[in-house]
Amino acid sequence: MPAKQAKGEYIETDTGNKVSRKSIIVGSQNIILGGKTIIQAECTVRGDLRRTIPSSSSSSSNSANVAIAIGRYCFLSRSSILRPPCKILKGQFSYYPMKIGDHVFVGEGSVVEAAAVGNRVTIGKNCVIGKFSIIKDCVRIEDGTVIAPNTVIPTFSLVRGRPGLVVEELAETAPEKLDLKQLYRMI
Amino acid sequence: MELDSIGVNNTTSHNVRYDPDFDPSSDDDDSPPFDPRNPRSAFSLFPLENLLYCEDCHQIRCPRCVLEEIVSYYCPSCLFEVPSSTVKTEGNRCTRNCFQCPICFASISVVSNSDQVTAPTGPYSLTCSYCHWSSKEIGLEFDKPANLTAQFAKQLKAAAAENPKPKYAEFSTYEENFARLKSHYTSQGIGAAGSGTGGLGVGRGATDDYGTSPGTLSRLMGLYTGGGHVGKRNVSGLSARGVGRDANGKKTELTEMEDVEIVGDEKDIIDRLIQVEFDETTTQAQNLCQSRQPKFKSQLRPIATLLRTKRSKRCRACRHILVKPEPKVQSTRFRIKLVAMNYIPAINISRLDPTTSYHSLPPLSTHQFLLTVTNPLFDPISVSLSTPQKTPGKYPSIVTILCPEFEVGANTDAWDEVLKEDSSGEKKSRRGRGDRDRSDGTVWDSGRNWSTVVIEERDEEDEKVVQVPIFVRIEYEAEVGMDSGDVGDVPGGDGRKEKKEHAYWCVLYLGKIGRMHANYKYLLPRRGVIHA
Repeated sequence: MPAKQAKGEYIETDTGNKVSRKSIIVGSQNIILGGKTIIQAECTVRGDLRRTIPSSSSSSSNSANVAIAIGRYCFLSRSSILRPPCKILKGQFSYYPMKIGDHVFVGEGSVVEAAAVGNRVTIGKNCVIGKFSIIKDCVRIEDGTVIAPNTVIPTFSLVRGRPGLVVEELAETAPEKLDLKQLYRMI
Repeated sequence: MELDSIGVNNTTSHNVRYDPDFDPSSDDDDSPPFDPRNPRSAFSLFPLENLLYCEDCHQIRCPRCVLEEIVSYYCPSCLFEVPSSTVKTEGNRCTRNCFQCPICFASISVVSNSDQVTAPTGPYSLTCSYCHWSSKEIGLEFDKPANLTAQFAKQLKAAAAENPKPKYAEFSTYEENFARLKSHYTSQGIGAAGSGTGGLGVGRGATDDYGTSPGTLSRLMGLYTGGGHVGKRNVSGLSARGVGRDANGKKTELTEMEDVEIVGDEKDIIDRLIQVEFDETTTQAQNLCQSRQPKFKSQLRPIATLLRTKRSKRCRACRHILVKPEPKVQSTRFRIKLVAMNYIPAINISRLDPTTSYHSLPPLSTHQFLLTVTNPLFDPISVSLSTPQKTPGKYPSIVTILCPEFEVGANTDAWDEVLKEDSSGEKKSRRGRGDRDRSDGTVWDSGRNWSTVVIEERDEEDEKVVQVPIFVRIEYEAEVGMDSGDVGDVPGGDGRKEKKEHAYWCVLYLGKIGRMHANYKYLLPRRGVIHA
């Protein structure tokens, strides 16, 4: 568990987010943090990679600008990378927004390019979450897993391997075990 | 409190001396302490979070002592719920567009093969985005990017029709194979009784699937015991025929089965094996996922995604429901969830000296750990811990719990903790750091619903994992009749308190003893001499 950091290591926002001064946040106007989320040093969050073609569902202009939306009590460990997924659709290249739920832990050195990550998801160290993958609620991804692009991981799954496959079902207590409120209090 | 990964392996035994009617007076009975190194222990130890609790039996229920019932079927890839009637008719695989790569088992998606960029058209193929396998490699392409299972089945049928000899057909359908087998068994008089064989294997009770007539049974037994061969599918026709003749002295079922089975010609396979590279043959994992165990990668087909289930769990003893999930696929909620975590105190281990590593504890020395018991109940509990003096196994460690009997506070409102922490922060730090005399049998530290005691371990050998079995007994007084979670259906209690008790074994993994320096082997006998 991370030790208590020296004062001034984090910038704290009104909603309780703690963002390390040493993190690399690009395009912060396109990033939403839900509150009480911690971003550690050397993390990269690429808010600048936003949608370049208008959304087909033509929602309000405000939400169209959001590249990365992160929920509450999330924890981005050292040198992890969040990058919105991209693809060429009908000849046009574009990035697509990434949505991350509450209580999501991203381990050291992991790269996340998922389209959606649900609530209470723990991603281990040095994982790669492929483009446009969808990870549902209550999922644990073990260290070093590589999830192939476009993969869907259902709820209560333990994912392991390269390519990452569901190897086990999590117990009923998983929602309590994957809660990150305690972790926030430690920082 | 430390939460190092190796220290929190709090495991609870399955049924070894776990008994709610456990009599404390007969504590020192003859039964030996729980041995975590016994080969059978692996089947009876579970982490606390995997255990359930039956309120009616007042017992811990492990995954082995529950009955499961399927609530709903769904595809883990497209997350569509599949009605159980469809599962019975169509099988337990996704019938939409979900497939797995036959090479690496990642989910594969449909990709257009046309050159047109702006408006992609057919043909489409299934491509793995992990290993770049494409269904084009086996000549499988689709006209439309939807309803792939039906298109796939159609192509298989067409290919089978082109090549009338099913033995050598690259593509042959499951249905045809099934129909052939069915007609065969019907002619044998087996299929008539077991007409519902379509439902086999998808969660049907195994009561009447094989028919009830004794003739049917003996015929089936004859089929399977006569040869003693397990892998009939790969056994060549020759040996099957031989077995058939041996068993009954005439042409029997096995020979007939050979006609309906699709067995690759072994000579063909051997010839091809000589020609191809090793890389073009299938691995065992790839082989086992296919319907007829192909030898070559070119024969692999995309695997339709296996459906997953949501299941409710019942106590095996009293059949009361312990877990009932919401049937909706994406929901993580439960209608009923009786987990042991809410009834049984959690035990955590952490280092007393934060500089030691769990993975290499200094050998031949005494290690001290902090054992924390956290109470999930709304009543204060009194805990007594006992452990064998020496841990079981070839190289025992001497284990001492410095304070084996203590109290743990109730799991009251969380706000109490916050208020208490403000006022008693000083007190706690004094207790933790100032009180160096740890041999006086007092609690090391305690909080709202947790208490920590010191556990000492002295090892006599190096290089092993220290596993300490601990017998935990908790006693508490709960209000009778209050449905506060820890009391069952006890009628007519008005504030009366009732004594409750739990006793069970658990095993703590303290860490691994590190390696001694190189001349340790020379030191050891000398040490023995000194002690003698």
